[in-house]
Formats: sequence, C-alpha cells, structure tokens
Amino acid sequence: MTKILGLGHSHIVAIAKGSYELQHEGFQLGGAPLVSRFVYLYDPELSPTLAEESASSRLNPRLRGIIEEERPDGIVLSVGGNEHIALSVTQPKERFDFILGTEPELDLEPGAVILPEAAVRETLREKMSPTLLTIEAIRKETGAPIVCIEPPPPLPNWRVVQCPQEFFRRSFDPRRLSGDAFRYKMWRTQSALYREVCMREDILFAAVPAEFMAPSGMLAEEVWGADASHANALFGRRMIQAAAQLFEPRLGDGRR
Amino acid sequence: MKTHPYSKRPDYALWRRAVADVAPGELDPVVEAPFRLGVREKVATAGSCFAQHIGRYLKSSGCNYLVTEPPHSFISPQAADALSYGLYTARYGNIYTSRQLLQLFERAYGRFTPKENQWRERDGQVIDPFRPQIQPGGFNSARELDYDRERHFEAVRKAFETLDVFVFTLGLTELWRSREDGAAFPLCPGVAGGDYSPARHEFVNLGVDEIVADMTAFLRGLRAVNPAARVILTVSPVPLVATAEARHVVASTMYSKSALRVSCDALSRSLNQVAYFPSYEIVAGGYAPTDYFATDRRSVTQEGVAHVMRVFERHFIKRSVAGEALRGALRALGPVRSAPAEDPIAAAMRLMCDEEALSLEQIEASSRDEASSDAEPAPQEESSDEEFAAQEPFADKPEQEADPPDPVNERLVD
Repeated sequence: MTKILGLGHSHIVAIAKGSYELQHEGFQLGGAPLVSRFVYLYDPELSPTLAEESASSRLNPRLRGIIEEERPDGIVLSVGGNEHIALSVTQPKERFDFILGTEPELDLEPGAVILPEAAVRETLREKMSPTLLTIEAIRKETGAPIVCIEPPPPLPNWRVVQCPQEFFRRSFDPRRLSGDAFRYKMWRTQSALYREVCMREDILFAAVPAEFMAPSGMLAEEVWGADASHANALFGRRMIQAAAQLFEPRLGDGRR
Repeated sequence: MKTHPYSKRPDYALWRRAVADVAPGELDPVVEAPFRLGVREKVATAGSCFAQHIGRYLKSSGCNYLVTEPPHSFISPQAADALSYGLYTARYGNIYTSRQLLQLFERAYGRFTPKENQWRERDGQVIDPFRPQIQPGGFNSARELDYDRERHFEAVRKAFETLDVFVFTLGLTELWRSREDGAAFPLCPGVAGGDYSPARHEFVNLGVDEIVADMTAFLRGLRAVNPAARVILTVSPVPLVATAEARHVVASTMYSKSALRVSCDALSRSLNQVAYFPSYEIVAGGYAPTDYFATDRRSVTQEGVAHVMRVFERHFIKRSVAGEALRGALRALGPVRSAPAEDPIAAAMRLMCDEEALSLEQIEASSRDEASSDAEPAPQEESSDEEFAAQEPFADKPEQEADPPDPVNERLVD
C-alpha cells in the first residue's frame, strides 16, 4: 500500500472525502493501493499546532507523534487557505483594489484606491504567517514527499449573500461586499505565497485544475461545498489525483 | 589688564569651558535656535538615513509629526514597514542630496518629468529609479507604478503645503545622474535596479555652490506654496558607504560632509527662518567624550542618537509646563490595556474552519443515527475525534457500512 497522511484545516475535509472515495474504489498510487488518513489541525488535542519559538521542533508533539507513527509515503497539506476570503469578502470604508501582476488586464473596482500588489501580498503574508510557519515546520519534521493542495478559488458574491452566516456574525451591508474580480485576485496572491514557501521548502504544489474554474475565476459550481468557502468531495478527489501524479516520481521503495 | 575681542567671550565660545570641561554626554554645540517649534506644529522630515532617527524621535516624544502618506487601513503594520510607510512624512525613501530634494519638489508639482522614469527588470518587475528600494519586489507594472506615483506626489504636495517646520538631513554630495536630462538618482543605476551605462549615466560630486543653489531653489519653491514654512537643516554624521572618486572613502567622506556643512552655514546665515542643527558635530566631530560610532565605524550608536535628540529637544522644541503636565496625566489616566483582542483574520479563519468542522459533526451524527438502526455497530463509532475524516467515506456512503470493516481504515482508526 501507499500511505498518504493528510494534514490541514477546513479545506482538508473535502480532500479527505475525495481521497476516501478513491481509496474505496481501489485507487492505485505507485503501483500499490492508496491508503490515507486525514488529521484536522484545529483539533483541540493538536492545538496549538506550533510550539514556542525556542523549542527544538516547532510542531505540536502530538502532531509529531502522528507523523512519526504513520511513517507516510507522502503527506498532503491543506493548511489554512481561507485568509484571502477573510481579507477580501468586504471592503473597508476606503475601497481599494490592486493590479495583479500576472493578470494585469483584470478589472479594477471603480473609485477604489489602487494599492501596490506588494502591499496586498505583504499584508497577506503577515496574516498567513501561522499557515506558512506550519508548512515549514511540517517539512522539517519529515523527509517524505509533501504535496501542498491549492485552496479552492472563491465562490461568487451571490453565494456569499446566500450563506452570510459563515462570514458575518451580525447583519451586513451588501454594498460593502467586494467584487468577484477583486476576490479572485486575492486568491491568486495567496496562492503565490503558497508557491513561494513550497519552492523554498521542496514541497510539491498541486494547483486547482482549470476545469474547476469558472470563466470569472470563481470556483466552478459543480465543486461547491455546502457553504460559500469550501469545495466538495469531487474537488477533493481531483486534487488527490493531482497530488498522486506529483508523488509518483518521488515515492521510495520502502512502501509496505 | 588689556582687553581684546576674546576676553569677554561667553563660555560657549571657549573650548575649555564649552568642550574640555563638560560632562560626558553634555556637549551642546547649539547656542540659540533662531526659532522653536511647538508640540502642536506640524513637523515634516526628509533626508538621508540619519533623518529616520529624527522622525522616530519626533513621533515618540509627542510632537505633531506630519504624515501625509499613511498606509491604507487594509495594510498590516508589518507590511507597512516593509513598504517604507511611516519612515518619513511621505513615502519618498531616503533623499541623500540637495539635488534629489529639489527634483522631488519639481516632479511633485509637474515641473520636471525625467526621461528615465522607470526601470524594467528582466523578471518583469518595474523599479522606480527615484525610490528603488521603496517596496520589496518593486512594482508589478508601469501602470502600478503610475498609480502609486500619482498618489505619492499628491502626498508630497500636501506635506510641503501644510507643514509648519521641515527638518532636512543632508547626507551626500556624490550622485549619479542621467546625461540626457540631469535626473538625479538616489542610488547608482545597477545597484538596486536599472542598468548602469556610461553612455547614459554620469557621476557628479556636488560642490558648495551647487548645493546652495539647489537648496535655495527648493526653499524658494517651498515658500511659494507655504510662505510660513520654517526649515531646520542638519548634516548626517554617517560616513559614505562607498565613493566613486579616485580616492580613499575617508577623504571623500570628509569632503562631502565639509561641503554640506559649509552649504548649511551659507543658507542659514542668508535665509530667514532657516536654522542649522549640529548633528554632525555631536556625533562625528570627535569631541564628545564618548565614541558614538559602532564597530563598523559608520553606524551611529543609540547613545549617539540619544545625545543628538537631547540637544534638539532642548533647543528646538517648545513645551509648556501645563501641556507637559496634561500629557503626563493623560498617560497616567489612560485606559488600562486589556489583553490583546484576537486578530480578526484569525477569528474569521477559526470561524470558517469551526463551521466546517460543525458540518462534519452533523454528518457524523447522522451517520451514527443510521448506524444505530443497524444490528451491527459501525466501526467508526469507536474511533476518536482525531480521526474524524477517516469516517467520512462511511458517512457519505452509508451503503458501505454494511460491508465488513475495511482493513485499511480499521487499522487507521484504531
């Protein structure tokens, strides 16, 4: 068997669902049946994920124990991934937007202050700090190949309006919602930070396939989850298949 | 006893009393400032890197430090630091030379647009030649730079038009400029962006006349938009990091600082409401009993900065006793800081994640309900919360629950 350990936050749920579907269908990875286990990092038993700065390993000892005990052939990460949503779903009083360097032709919010992409990127980097540090700490814990799953792109605004309780504790002013293009850009900026840490830490990156992206850049409706942030098992399934392709050349001979 | 011009000179004019006999840290080369600034007056700063110390001090000491280009409310504090917000009144970065200052003024008011207005790097990034290190990675496009520059110039104009006092720290005389139109760069092309080309770029070492002319032109412009503006000039004590002259860096440093010092003297003697403050003398004069340079003989120590600001405070800042008492009282009576609130992003993340986990609990619960109607208990019932995800396939596919436990999952949920 080829053993995969999945670690992450809320998006890992869809990945887990997809993985188990594949597993029960006898999906083969590296010529052996896929076996997977998924761990939710917000589990109180595993919190805080990161120990104090001074500790020799920054990872929670229980989580280290799981990695050690499982001795996986590969690790799938879906750590964090909602930061872009939290930062972009509504606009501050002074609306802002930015030019995405990789897709500069995208619309800008009318009347918005245009900030440098670097300002958005560095703010996201700060807000993603626990996520990025967790990924680094997991890498330091194991020599197994790791695939980081790109979080799903945002769902459109009308879906946010349908499911507001996920984002807003009280009533909200729909006029403060950001445009879809802006939210797409934030997601892309976040993905670039994932790619950056993956490159630095020798972690493979599984990008969301084009077929799951609507022309607007939003998550395609067929893979929406039950709310306005998450994807479904079909998404998870496809991402596990993408991860498997990345794992293949790196799988060692020591599989059980 | 005979009298002569030196016989009745005050203490400050006599080396023994003004320097040799003073206690460590008490050297004070200012005799009388031509004006003082009140704590409510708006103070703007610019200059070479030493000017950052002055800005920091003004902010921390309760003065009204003017910031006309604050970070947008979206930008986090760490990101704002990385993007050089708050370093100076506006986001212009270090201004090392008199030519750069004059040029900034002219560019902000649309009187000069350099031909070499952007540097395109090989990886696609665009560097502002006049603020090459203003943000990590430069700008992503010329369009982005244009947006930012427009906003920046607006902030620069607002600064010049609304300041009460402008503190400018002159740092260098050496600069590189465009042969085409004389545009002065803060750093030599090729150092932090752009490509150096002897055909397009030339080295200049400003002389006193040029510095005085630049500063006079700047001051004329400043007074045109803000007639009441007062100016404090100072010379950075920080030596040159490198010289482009064919001589030792120490000799070049001595020339630069001397030329700047002489220029300041000429300007403060000839122009109204222009004062000179002797930062250079306190730190680099070599007369203070304490060595104020760090081991690299270039960085100024905290003690050196503190000495400079102590003298600045004593002579240039006007504080009323009542105002200080009020400030102290406000500090003492200020709200007790409670534990820092959770970062809203972290809270939102947790909320979203928690809700996802809640939906999982519901799936699990419904799967348990279905399982309880079966004669055989479902294997996942015995699993711990930790393995919640391992139960998902069973939850989604209740028909599989009747199957014998999957040996793989059985082992994993142990």
